[in-house]
Amino acid sequence: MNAVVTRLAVPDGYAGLLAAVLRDGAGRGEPEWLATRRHGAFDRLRAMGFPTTRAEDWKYTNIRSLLDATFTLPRREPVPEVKSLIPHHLEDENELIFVDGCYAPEHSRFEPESGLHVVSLEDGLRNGDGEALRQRLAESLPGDDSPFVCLNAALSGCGVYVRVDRGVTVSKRIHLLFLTTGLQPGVMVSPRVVVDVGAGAQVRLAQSHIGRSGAAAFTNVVTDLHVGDNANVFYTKVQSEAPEAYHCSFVRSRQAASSVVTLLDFTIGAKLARNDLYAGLDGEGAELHLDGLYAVRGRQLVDHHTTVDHRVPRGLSRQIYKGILNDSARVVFNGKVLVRPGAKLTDGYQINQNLLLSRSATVNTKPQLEIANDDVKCTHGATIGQINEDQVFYLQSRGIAKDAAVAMLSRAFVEDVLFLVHDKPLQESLRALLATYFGK
Amino acid sequence: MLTIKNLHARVVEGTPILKGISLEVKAGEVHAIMGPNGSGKSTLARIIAGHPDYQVTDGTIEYEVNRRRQNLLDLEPHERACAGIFLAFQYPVDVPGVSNAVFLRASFNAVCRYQGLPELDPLDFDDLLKEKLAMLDMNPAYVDRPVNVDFSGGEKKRNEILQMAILNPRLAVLDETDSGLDVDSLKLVAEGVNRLRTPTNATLMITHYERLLKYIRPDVVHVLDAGRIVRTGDYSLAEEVERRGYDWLQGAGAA
Ligand SMILES: Nc1ncnc2c1ncn2[C@@H]1O[C@H](COP(=O)(O)OP(=O)(O)OP(=O)(O)O)[C@@H](O)[C@H]1O
Ligand SMILES: [Mg+2]
Repeated sequence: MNAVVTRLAVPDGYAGLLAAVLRDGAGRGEPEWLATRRHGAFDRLRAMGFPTTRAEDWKYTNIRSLLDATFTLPRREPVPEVKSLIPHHLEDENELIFVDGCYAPEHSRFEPESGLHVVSLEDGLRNGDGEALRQRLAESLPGDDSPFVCLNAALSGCGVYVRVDRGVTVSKRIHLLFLTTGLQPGVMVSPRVVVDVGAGAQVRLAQSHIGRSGAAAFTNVVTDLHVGDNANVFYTKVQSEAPEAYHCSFVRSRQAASSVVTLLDFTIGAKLARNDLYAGLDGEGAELHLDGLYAVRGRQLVDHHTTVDHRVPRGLSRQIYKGILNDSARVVFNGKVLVRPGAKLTDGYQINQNLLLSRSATVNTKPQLEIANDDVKCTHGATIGQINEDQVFYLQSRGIAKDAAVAMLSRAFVEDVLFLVHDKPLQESLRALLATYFGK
Repeated sequence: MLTIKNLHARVVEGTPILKGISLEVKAGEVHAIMGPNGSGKSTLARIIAGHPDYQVTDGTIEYEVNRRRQNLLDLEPHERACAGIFLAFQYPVDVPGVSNAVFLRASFNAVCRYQGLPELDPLDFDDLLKEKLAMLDMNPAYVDRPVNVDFSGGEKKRNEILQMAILNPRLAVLDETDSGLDVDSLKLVAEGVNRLRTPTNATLMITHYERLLKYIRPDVVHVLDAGRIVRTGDYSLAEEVERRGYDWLQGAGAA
């Protein structure tokens, strides 16, 4: 009998990628500590390997095809027109555009605001933000032991550092757009986003990953949000990668007392997407709104693993993840709500709801509550349902064709999540993106 | 306009419900269908509208408008609606997450497209909607609410008539639209129906009560029992049913 394989070796090619990243970094004057950090992360990755489906957290998500694929590092090349790649182009925002893993200042537009500091990671490491950024990157965060976070730490090339000074309200949305054009087949893009929001500050951030069909890219992104007392952060992640792309993402948010954080995770693209999210309510009276919306079809797989960590008293969390599945698509939802022993008077709510438009689609949903004190109010649940035939017939009897009726009802199913997006232009652009799922 | 011949139908792979119904509704006519609970009235209405739960095992339904004769059973439900057939549901369906405004406009424009007419832009449609709301004495705020969700029984019925007023059908099938309505609502609904009464339109009304027929005078009254039409007559048949109930008609066989 064969021994059970629970780990997969790091593909040979990855060492070559690391060597190239180090060479390139040295050429660009990357600081010494960063090279050390890359080495350290890669060694940890090697030691742990990648998970098989024997690992509890990867039970339904087989990454062998990802590991078997060959990837290359981003090459800086003259970037053609990119506007057509941005389906939900939004007016009146600051946009930082990354094309195939390289920052493209010529396509970005940014109007400086006082109290707001936004630098590309490469620049941030060289200029005055270097020290603050080094400290941030040196902090250990939940998820550091994830193989994909290690891989990102070893190879990350592009990224952004956003810092908002205390008390500052940033007027324009900051939109980070990571585009894959398909011009560099098999490109592995490892962005790192670090956001520092000072006490009492307010900011809206969007992070979009958009791929042109044919771009079999691999995006492995890590986003860290550090939110100060009384701050207010609205962060939206939009994943609309090419149908053949791989996408791994880890969002980590830590929020101080009385802050309000709203996270929206919108998934429509990629062949295989793994979305890890950790939200720590570290300060008393923090409030978290965590919303997810996904629409998948074909043979797409999206795997959500979320952790909401109530560490101190009087925290409030609201989590609603909703999605639509068609064809043979698969969804995994594993949502953990932790209430630590001291986190009295926690108010937590979590729900995952799925609409299946096909009999061959599957959902594995597992909402979990782990409560270590009894002075809390927490509820959670999950549903998996089909479209309501009576409603379909009702719409048909009013002249609406079946396909259109199903689309209308599916959109209605996720409408409450969209409705929670208070940023109206963003809400409209997400609605438009969702319409593409129904072939419009 | 509507010719039903020897219609036999059952729930898909289930027991037979309609056992040989024949009926002809001509343009300009109003027919009433009465009959005890469970006799098959709603089933007939739903089959006309194309409900997928039922299977026609024998017989035909033909529909003719503008001198074009079609086999109704060949058309998808939405095509029937677009061709001018409207079913006011006995139990209107809640549609959470879809506002009345969005629903009504989608419906109206779908019918326009099918008939080769230009769609109405949102503003023009708004005007049309306002006019019909006023006609039915409905609160304009209601258009932003989700379809039928938390509507009272009477509001749902009125909402059916609003949809009918907007779609302007050739053949309206009203399934107990009068049930659950107070006197004032009943008058409004009847007015709405009477307004659509033209020499080129027709109405098939299912009801238990003669009181509706006072406001909408039928040309023909049918009594359905156990899946068959057991008596057909004029308005006086409705009066007689009101007085005597159905017992005297049961088992009477085809009239
Ligand atoms: N989809 C269905 N599945 C199973 N049975 C059905 C279905 N539709 C109708 N029936 C049965 O067929 C019979 C006729 O039902 P139908 O609703 O047509 O009656 P009705 O005349 O409209 O009654 P009422 O006056 O109570 O509205 C009933 O026995 C009913 O239970
Ligand atoms: Mg009925």
